[in-house]
Amino acid sequence: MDTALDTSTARPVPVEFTGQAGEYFGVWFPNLLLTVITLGFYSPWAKVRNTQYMYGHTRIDSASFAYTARPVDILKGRVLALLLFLIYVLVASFMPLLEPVFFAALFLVFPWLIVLALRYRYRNTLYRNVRFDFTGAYPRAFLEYAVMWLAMLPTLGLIYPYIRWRQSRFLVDHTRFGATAFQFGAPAGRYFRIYLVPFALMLGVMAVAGIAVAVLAPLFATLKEGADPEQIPDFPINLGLAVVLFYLLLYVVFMLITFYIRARTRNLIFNTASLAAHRFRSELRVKVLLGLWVTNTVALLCTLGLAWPWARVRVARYYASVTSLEVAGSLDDFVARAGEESRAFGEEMGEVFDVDIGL
Amino acid sequence: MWSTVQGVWFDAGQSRANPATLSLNGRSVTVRYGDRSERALLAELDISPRLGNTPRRLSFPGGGLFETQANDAIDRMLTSTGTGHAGWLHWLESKWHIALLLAVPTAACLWFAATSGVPAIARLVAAQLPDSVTRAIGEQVTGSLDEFGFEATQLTQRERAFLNGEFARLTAQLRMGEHCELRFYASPASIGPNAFAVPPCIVVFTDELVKLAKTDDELYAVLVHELGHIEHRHTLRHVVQGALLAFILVAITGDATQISSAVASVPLIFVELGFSREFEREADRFAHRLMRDEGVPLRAFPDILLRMETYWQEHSPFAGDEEEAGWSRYLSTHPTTEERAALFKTP
Repeated sequence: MDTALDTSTARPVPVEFTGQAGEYFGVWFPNLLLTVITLGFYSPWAKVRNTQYMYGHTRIDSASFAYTARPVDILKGRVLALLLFLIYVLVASFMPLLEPVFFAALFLVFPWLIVLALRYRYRNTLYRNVRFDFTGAYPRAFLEYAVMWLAMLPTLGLIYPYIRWRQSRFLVDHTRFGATAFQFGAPAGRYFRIYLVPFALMLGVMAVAGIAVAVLAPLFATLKEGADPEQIPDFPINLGLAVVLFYLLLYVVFMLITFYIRARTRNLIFNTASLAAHRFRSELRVKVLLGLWVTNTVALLCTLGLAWPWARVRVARYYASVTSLEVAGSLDDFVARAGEESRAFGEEMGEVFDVDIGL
Repeated sequence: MWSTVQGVWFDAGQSRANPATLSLNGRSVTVRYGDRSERALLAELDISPRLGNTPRRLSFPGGGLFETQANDAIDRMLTSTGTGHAGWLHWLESKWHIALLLAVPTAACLWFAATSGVPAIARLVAAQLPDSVTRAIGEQVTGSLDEFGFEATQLTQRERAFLNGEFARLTAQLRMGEHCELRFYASPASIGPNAFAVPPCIVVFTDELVKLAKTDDELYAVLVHELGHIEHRHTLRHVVQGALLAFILVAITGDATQISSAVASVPLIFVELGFSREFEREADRFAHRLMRDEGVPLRAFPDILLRMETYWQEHSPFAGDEEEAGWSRYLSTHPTTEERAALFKTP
């Protein structure tokens, strides 16, 4: 790494996404159809194909990523996961008393699923003939993803940004490209700053809700007593419409908070992380994320989901366009390290239960 | 036969990108980069299947990797040597309008499986469920009633006498087993006059419904409708159908979670509500047959239905807008009152 340490030669290298909506539709749709025809048995092959398409079109320094997972591994994991899901549905329907036991078990298993899922995904991610890896182990994952949550109650949730910071640190520090580890550099204080705005927004929504209830409750009271239906049109606002609008507002605020946290966290992690002497840049904007989400949702609803490849390509292209590397010297000097195969069980379990690892 | 392909070579486990040329000579390939070269038999290479215009990877036995954008040249090489081709999947992906055409019959098959296959399986499963399971479900439901605001009945023994007598007689006559029970509750305002069936054989009447009914015949009509739900095991079938549909949905959309939540759940709601309306019709037919056989005036059934509907029009803060009736049909758990009343006009 002789040249790599010389930061004066750092050059910006963009991340490019070269996929096209039309081309991706051609990949996505036949695979979706095969999945439906086979009642889901084909879905691991479809998943590999879709992911490989996205990876193959993601380029840095004119070299692309590759996804090398084997569909058969994923099928095994998915069959197990579906069996567990079926057991869960049956338990929830017929023995609701056992549901807490099920969730307690999930609480213990969840950190393990995260570790397995990341290890499998990273080991199957190839760039310039060097594989990524995740070296985090269960005990530490259990601390970050289970034990830490117990601190929420005594601190009234104020510790939440710190928990997220510890989780991000765990994820980044245990990610490797070949034999080289990523380094997490974000200070915990910055995480607290990120969560200030969502906190203020939530207070605002609660204030609006409080005012709404204060205004609407007397209206409901008069409605209940006054059996004269002729009175209803005289009310200044349509109650049903007000309720719908309020839920819509709540949903938009919720998405706004989600995008705000996602953008600010990702930018912070990327802008402070390093890999050897190379650094990263991320400039995600909340406004753009929100715009993409609104237009994609409208397009998906209007086309009954057929616009999915277009939506996915747009998002990938945006993420790539705001991400870049500051390469010190060149990316030529990474070497692989010997790694063992990992089972697909974790990754698919995470998917079925909708686990969001969030990086 | 000669052909060359431009690309990039990576040594085993090294990220250094070396501009390289791959050439085919007979059945062996040679990669030349810088002043070095690597040689292997074409059959030894692990060549990634073609996927749109994503780069092609040719993995060499020693761990080296040749990566190239020249997909067509690689395909020609594979075809000319008879060692492979772009793959049938790539063929289908490049002719995706064929897939688009096939989507119509596929969707039709899926719809048929969901609306006919699932109920048939659920009927079989519900019939096989042991009594212990159905009793556990029943206890769970009745146990949670006070959470919804149900309270002890205010009705006198005399007001309950007719229904108690008819319930005992009918459940014995229909051989519904020894766990049958008729219960009365004072209900919260949101539930009002209502009756429902709980597995294995519990019928619940609210005080408000008993007071709303003008004649014993009307109470009888509601009772036999609920017994129809029990006879056909509707609650159990509904639970099993829901589980099966969720299972199929997850199996199919497991890797497109974003779509599954937004779009795929919409038809699911329609299918579920369709099941619910079909159950009501089945219970109505059961009630109709029994009322006819026992000589109860058929008019009693639409009479009590209409009275309940009038009650709700007067008591709901969001009183139904008549204009929306056309659409709300598809979003209702029950068939329209007119449709249900029509059945009881036929002898």
